Amino acid sequence: NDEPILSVEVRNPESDIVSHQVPITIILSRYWPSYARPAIADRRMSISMPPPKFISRFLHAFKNSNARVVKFTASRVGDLRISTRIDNGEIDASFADLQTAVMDGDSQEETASVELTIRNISTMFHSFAHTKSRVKMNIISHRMAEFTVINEDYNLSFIAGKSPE
Amino acid sequence: MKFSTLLQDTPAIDAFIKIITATSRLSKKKCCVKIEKSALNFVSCTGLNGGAWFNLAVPYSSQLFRKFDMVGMNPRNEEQNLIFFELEIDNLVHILPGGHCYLKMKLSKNQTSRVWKKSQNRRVSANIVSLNCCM
Repeated sequence: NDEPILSVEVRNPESDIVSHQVPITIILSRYWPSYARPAIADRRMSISMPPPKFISRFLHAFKNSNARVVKFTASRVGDLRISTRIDNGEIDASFADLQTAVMDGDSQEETASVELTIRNISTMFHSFAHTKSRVKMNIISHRMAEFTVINEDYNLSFIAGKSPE
Repeated sequence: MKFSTLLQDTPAIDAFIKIITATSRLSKKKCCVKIEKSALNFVSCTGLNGGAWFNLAVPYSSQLFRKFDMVGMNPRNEEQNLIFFELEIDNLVHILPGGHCYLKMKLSKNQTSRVWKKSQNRRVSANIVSLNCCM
């Protein structure tokens, strides 16, 4: 009975402390590298996205139209186009004047684009729809995208590979 | 290494529960927790093979934590001063419905190895009655 656990004690204002035990599995150090951040190419384009609740709504609407893949196209001048193909045509939403950040070694392309599986990213935007922080997107053209949220409580890094479809 | 953390006001605990709940949605059942000196990280277990990878870091400097203690670190090998474990994150979400004013988390060993005294009595006219007492 020497199994490791996460002991969690909680108390409500009107009750005593209640203790819970959550089973855990310790990961040995030789397996740590398999949890490491995936390698990302240096050449990327960074753009600050519209509020996550807007993006969440678009992705939800795309999903309801039976779309499975969404394409993000960002430009160096701060334009972002979010589009998807559906049975009867194409839906797209365009945003302008978004903040961009060019760093040494970043992509020199005028535009960068990546196609992502909606299912892979919609949960992230839905889960963080309440945050007032902006989501920054780094596009590595035709390969992957990284979404980051940085605020006073947490830092999120979310990486999605390009859609296989 | 030992780890324990304490959150002691309702807004901070509710903010932490929101983070755990969001992590639960991102995770496919299991989630890795990586504890380092300066932050508690929730990390994807599946990598990009699962479609997406994430790392949600709650820094000690976030002011959510009242206490954040990691004991037993090796100053000669900073890279090894980490604790990694996997858990079913829903198990944590289910016991944290919100509205708490005190939340303490601590890594420890299972404490169920108690000694039990078992006695059985029977009257001539009755069935056996068993009584188990925790010592």
